[in-house]
Amino acid sequence: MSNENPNQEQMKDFLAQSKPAGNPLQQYMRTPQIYITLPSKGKYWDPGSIEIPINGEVPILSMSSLDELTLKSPDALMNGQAVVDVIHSCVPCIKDAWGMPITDLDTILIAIRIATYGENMEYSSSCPECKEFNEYEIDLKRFLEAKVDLSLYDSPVVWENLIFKLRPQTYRITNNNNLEVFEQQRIVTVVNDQSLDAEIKVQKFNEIFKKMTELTMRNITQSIEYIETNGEKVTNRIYINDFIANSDVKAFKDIKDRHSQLDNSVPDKTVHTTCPDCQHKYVIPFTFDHANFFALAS
Amino acid sequence: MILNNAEIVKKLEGMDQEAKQIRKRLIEYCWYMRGGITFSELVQMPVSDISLINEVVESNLETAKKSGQPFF
Repeated sequence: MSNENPNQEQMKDFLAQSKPAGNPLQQYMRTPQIYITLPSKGKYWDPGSIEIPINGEVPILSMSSLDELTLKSPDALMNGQAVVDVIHSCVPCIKDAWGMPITDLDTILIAIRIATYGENMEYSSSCPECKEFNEYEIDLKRFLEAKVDLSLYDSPVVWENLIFKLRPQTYRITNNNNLEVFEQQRIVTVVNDQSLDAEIKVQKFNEIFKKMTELTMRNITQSIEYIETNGEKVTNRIYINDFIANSDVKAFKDIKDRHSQLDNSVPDKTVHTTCPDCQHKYVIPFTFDHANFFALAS
Repeated sequence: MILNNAEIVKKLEGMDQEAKQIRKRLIEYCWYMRGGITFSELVQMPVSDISLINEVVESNLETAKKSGQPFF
């Protein structure tokens, strides 16, 4: 015989039914605020990670309070999960934001911010001339409308009889690399702070330097989609890594130069400002620090 | 952006405070809406709609103040 009160069981059933979690109507609670065209137009995304609508316009929903709370979670911001969760919540077309090419990230984040808080964003800066602290307003639409030219990815790098086809890195790879760079920077700070022997310090710095060189190499190899030789496309990561590690410096330099060109093709995100106090004209680099970018309007 | 340890701690504390403020604001709205909206519904609601609720609450407070009626 069960010791459980039958009323208690009924109450459990009632509570289970009335629980709002996993509400199938949730998807109808928010409607798209704006539609955007991605710089990549759906190219370079990992297979199955996005479903682009027929017209190519991606709907963007406003953030919910849950998304706001997600962006206040330091650990989730650090490991990239907060950004991925907010993108999944606000851009239903995106099924796996980890597989997003990094070239689309800023556009998506700006669009989410516009959909949530509107086109204007307040920012503040201190004038380098008179040191006066001033508040300004910036129209985020101009960043959204700035053309991101990805055509350079279509023209491969040719070195001797090898053809290198490059592609933008995914958010997953960029995030992992950033975490590793952060870890190395943290170690540098620790080594600097410690009262270690000069010899041990040198040894530690050599290890860090070696690791950073490896990260730079990996950064380059991860952006290679394939290497073509005599009509054969090599896509195996082990072979590509092996080649880059043992290749001629010239080949490595050519690919690195192309990376610099690709970086320069990203539209300039600076804000030209005039100090209202001393009329000094200066430029502020506009950074998409996720913690601040979504906090200023709330 | 490079922050030192003290600045990082300050930033983390600031984020924690902001998260608490968001939660508190939502709980207050639940109270002002007299249970008409649950906490989980508010959490899922677009930020722009929540500002509309804020306008309704402020308008009701103002009306109560003008009419001298009690507002609990």
